[in-house]
Amino acid sequence: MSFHRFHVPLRWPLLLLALVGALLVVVAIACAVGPVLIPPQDTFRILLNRLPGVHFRVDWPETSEVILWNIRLPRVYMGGLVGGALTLAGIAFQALLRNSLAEPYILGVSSGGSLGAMLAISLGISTMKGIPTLPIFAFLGALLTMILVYQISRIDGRVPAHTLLLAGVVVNLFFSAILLYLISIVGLTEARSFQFWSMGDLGSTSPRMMLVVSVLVFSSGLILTSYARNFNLLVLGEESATYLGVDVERMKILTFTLASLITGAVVSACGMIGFVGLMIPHIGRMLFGSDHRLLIPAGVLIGAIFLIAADTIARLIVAPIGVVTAMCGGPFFIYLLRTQRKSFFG
Amino acid sequence: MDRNHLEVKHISFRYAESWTLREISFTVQPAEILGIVGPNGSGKSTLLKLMAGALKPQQGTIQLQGQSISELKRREIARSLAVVPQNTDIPFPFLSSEIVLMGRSPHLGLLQMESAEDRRIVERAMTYTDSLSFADRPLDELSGGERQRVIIARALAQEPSIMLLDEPTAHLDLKHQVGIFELIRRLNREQEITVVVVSHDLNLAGTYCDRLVLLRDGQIYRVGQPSDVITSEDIERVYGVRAIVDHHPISGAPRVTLLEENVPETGK
Repeated sequence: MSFHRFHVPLRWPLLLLALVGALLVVVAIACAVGPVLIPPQDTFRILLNRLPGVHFRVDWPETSEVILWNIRLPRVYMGGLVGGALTLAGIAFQALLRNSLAEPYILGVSSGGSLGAMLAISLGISTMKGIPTLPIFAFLGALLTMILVYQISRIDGRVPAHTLLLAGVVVNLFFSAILLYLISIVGLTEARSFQFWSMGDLGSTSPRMMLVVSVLVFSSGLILTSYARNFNLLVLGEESATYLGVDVERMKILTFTLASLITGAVVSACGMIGFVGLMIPHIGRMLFGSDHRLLIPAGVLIGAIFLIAADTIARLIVAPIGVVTAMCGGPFFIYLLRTQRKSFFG
Repeated sequence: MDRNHLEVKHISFRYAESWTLREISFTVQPAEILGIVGPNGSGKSTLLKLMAGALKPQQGTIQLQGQSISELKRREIARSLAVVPQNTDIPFPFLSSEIVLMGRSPHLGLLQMESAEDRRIVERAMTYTDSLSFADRPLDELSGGERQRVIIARALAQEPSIMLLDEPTAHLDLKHQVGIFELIRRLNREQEITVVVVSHDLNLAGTYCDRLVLLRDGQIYRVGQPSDVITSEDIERVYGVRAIVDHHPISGAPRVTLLEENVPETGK
């Protein structure tokens, strides 16, 4: 008989280390490909050259350095950040709602966030004294939507999967109508940027915005991750979690707030990128099991790898990133619907 | 105050307009097995949830170790009171051993991982409940009886002084029904855990419980030893069914035999 489950999981750090290695490989490839090819060894030396005390002989074209620092690296960084953030938001929503199909995009939280952001732009209050306030409005839109969808779908203290998903669909449709209306009344330039936004864009975030979003995502993410064991207990259901010492109401408020904050921050910087929070947690569970203490860090890394790779493809075929993820996510959703009947009807 | 002191004081509870439970009072004796019995809708499960602090009564209090349960933190409660709930469905695959390890959670700090000692406690709990052989199998692939043993192991891993079980033998076949009640008795006699068990099976409850609380329409109809509570008069009054109650030839526990021709005609 094997008792390996009772030993301290030494394999966790090893698995995470392997994923970090895979992430570095994907980053190197993503930095290399594009109209101008930058070999990974050049990327490596260009990056290290910025460190004090490191002086490589500059034998690479100057344009490589400009392209890398100004275009590719910020985009790869945003891809990694957003991929990890959306995965984390998906995992948190799924544990709390006990439904593997819950995800910011499907629940309508993303469109609520972008509606908040676009209202702020339309009203001309997207920055105040030079500070981007867009993430705050996106956060408020995301949080209000989450509360709305949760209240609509909650029946007798439970959240049945089908009412949850239907509530998400309806809210999404409703918000799309408002977005289309906004697009039809604003000027042509804003309309174009709104439209592109609703399909996701990792390449046009300002450095200041990147900083704000990073701070929001990392701080919320660390707090959520520290409650990983409580997410395991929440999967057992509110009643069982309560009996095992979890303050369920507090966890609900914490999770809804922080996951909405993450979603809002991401949406305000990069628009709507769907299905990442659906596909990656599922793949993570298949590979590593359901223990959130491993699933969260591993899922975040896989999410980062996935979105950097997907965005590289999007760049090469000149398609918006949201289109690429939806092309993968749509069929994946249908696959889950057909195979995970228990999760859908449970 | 005694570590396994649990007292229900004058509680009344309602979900909506009408009262589900009214003026319930009784004390759980240390190291006894107390059964809560009664017809469907008499408020058995609600009473258990109130005793576990998952629901808050509109009137009255539940006292755990001399303190009102509503003033205790959930983690504090979980260290001395474990619950085996009725619904144990999980949407994501967890291994049985992972489920039982969750029982250690109330003893761990926020970022603390389970120690070798925690794993030993879990292994012991699974050995004790005869569930170690499916430690490496996902919970949702187990049979009803196996699954219930894993959930009881999780409750045991909490190292509680009191264990509450909500219909632990529902949906189980005869062999597993007896097996679970035998396990409950061992927990009580060997580990000195005070047990409160909700059951709709009068014969099993009468055999294994030291005392019974019989509920009828949200009120206590009778409290006492099984032979005092399970009588043909009480069964007819509370359940509306005629029955013969005699004594089990070996154990002496009350034995209920339903009289078929007197079952009220409901389906015709």
